[in-house]
Amino acid sequence: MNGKIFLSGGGSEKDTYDFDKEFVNSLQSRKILYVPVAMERDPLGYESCYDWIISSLTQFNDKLVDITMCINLRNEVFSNLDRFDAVYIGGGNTYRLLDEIYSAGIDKHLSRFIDKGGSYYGGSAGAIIMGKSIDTVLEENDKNYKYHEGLKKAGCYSFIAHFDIKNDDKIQKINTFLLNHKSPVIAIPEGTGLIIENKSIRTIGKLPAFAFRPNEKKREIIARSFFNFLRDEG
Amino acid sequence: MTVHPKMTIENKNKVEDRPDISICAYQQALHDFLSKNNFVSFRQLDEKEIYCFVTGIQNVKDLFNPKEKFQFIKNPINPESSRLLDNPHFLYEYFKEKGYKTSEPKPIVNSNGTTLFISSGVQILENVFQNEDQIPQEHIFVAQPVFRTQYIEFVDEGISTSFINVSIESINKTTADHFQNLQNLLNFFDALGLRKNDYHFEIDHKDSKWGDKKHRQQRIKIYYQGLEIGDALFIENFPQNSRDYLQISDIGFGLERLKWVLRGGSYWEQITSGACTDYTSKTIDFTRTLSLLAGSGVVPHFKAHGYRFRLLSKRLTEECIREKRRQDLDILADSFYDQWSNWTRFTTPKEEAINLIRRERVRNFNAELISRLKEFYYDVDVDISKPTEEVVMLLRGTSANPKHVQDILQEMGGPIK
Repeated sequence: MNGKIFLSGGGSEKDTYDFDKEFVNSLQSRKILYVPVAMERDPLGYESCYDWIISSLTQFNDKLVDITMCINLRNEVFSNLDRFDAVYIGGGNTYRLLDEIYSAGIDKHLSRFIDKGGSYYGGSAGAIIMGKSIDTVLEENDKNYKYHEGLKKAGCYSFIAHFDIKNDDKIQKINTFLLNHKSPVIAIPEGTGLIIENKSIRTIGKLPAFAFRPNEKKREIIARSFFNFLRDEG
Repeated sequence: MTVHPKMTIENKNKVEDRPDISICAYQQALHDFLSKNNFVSFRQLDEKEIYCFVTGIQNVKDLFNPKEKFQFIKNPINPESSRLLDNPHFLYEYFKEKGYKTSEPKPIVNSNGTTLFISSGVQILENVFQNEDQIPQEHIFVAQPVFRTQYIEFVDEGISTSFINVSIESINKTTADHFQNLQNLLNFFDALGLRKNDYHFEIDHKDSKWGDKKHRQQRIKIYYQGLEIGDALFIENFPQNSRDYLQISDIGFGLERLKWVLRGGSYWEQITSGACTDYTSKTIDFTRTLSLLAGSGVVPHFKAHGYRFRLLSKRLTEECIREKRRQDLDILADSFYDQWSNWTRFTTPKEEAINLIRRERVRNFNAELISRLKEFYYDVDVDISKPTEEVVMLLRGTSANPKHVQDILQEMGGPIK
């Protein structure tokens, strides 16, 4: 049975409180592997990342959330993911992140982990890489990175984070993607998260997430309960 | 002198919002520094923008051969000078004599800083960078105890979660000053016995972020016989709210790694002064870092500063259970407390700190015992903060079979003394 996939649209610790709580409470032994490599940081910067993640994920109860941080994707920890309940990949540059993942060959380990029932939390860039393509954020490809295909954990859907329905520029980017890729996009606002489980999606957060499809003018609000996306498989 | 084309002044890298003159000056000073020390370009590494410079051309072919790395393990460079580095006064006096203003290190708990703990020597100037405090005029020397959580899972020879970061820090000085400081550091290494032909430098630049402030770093990593022993960072454009960008020179090395190079043998023998060879590297490292935290007033908790204490103690307990050892770590904690006391001012008395480390280990041991019992019994949630013997007594009031409890205890190496 596949594990749960939590995809966050980004935002502050306060914005994502409910979503993060759902994530932490879903974990049996609360062992998390945290991977902040989408951001290029020096050792000091990665310490800040760790401070942030413990602040975000330890606020829900008084039980120890056991968070292991790994900044070297070539480390053997990735060939033994079974000892964790979840892998958490944070935000940053989506292309840099995907390049690191494919170059280190951990895409297979991650996929296998999720397929075997492990949970995954992706914040922003970490969410976008779970889609079919990461070209929803083409503007981030500032170093001509070669990988564009995501890990395809949501059928034919791609994702975009930090979505704002009032931001015409974001909508224009999505329309360009739909035109070029002929495959649907799910847009997640800050503070909202998607939970993918058994090929269905539900959302947590104050703002709705939207599904945009090629050749359909109408965008579809993703229900808070369940939204079956099997029909788009193909 | 062969310098890679991209490293030359004509091909300088642009930095947003800064006049190119600073990059130009940096490249010129770098060029002069490398020439003066007879470092020549070797090759570009991993198709990335990293350039390698060496002096001993005869060693070039061996530089990346794992068999040739870390030769100091079998052939120590100078064990006697390693002992000099046990004494902070030696370091402080040496650099004071060279004209540096010496600074007391910060406590490891970083109150109101950008990180919960101090993890780099440059953080002694954090208030200047982040809060726009007055810019110091002097070049500052500090031997700063630091804690790096990112290494918890990867403790090994040369990799520890806490160490002394010996640093020279200066702000808004010239690039020539930056390289003079680096030269002074290399001269210090020379005086200890390191040989010029055994170095290589890796040179690159990258964009980074500290707090909410983006900046660009010019970086030189210093390797000795293949081991990274230090680095020299030059930040060209650290943003400020109400004054002009800062230029920051941050040059430092890891004291324990330098001592390892000089002393040879195992990194952990060097850490424990050869006294505690029976422990695993993780046992030594976690106990050492816990001593630093406990002495500095950190108490275990599931949040914030105390989280690191609890997590480290959990890892230490897991390591001891994995090794099936009933180790009394009080002696180790005691010696590390004394060791750190030479470098930083502790706020918690020794006995209290050692008791705290032991109590938290017992708590984690009990938590693991209960976790294992829960696979068989539903009603074993007892108070884990008591000594293990008392927890075992409390378990007699549950459905857990006493013989089974004892068997699991044995599997775990027996209760912590």
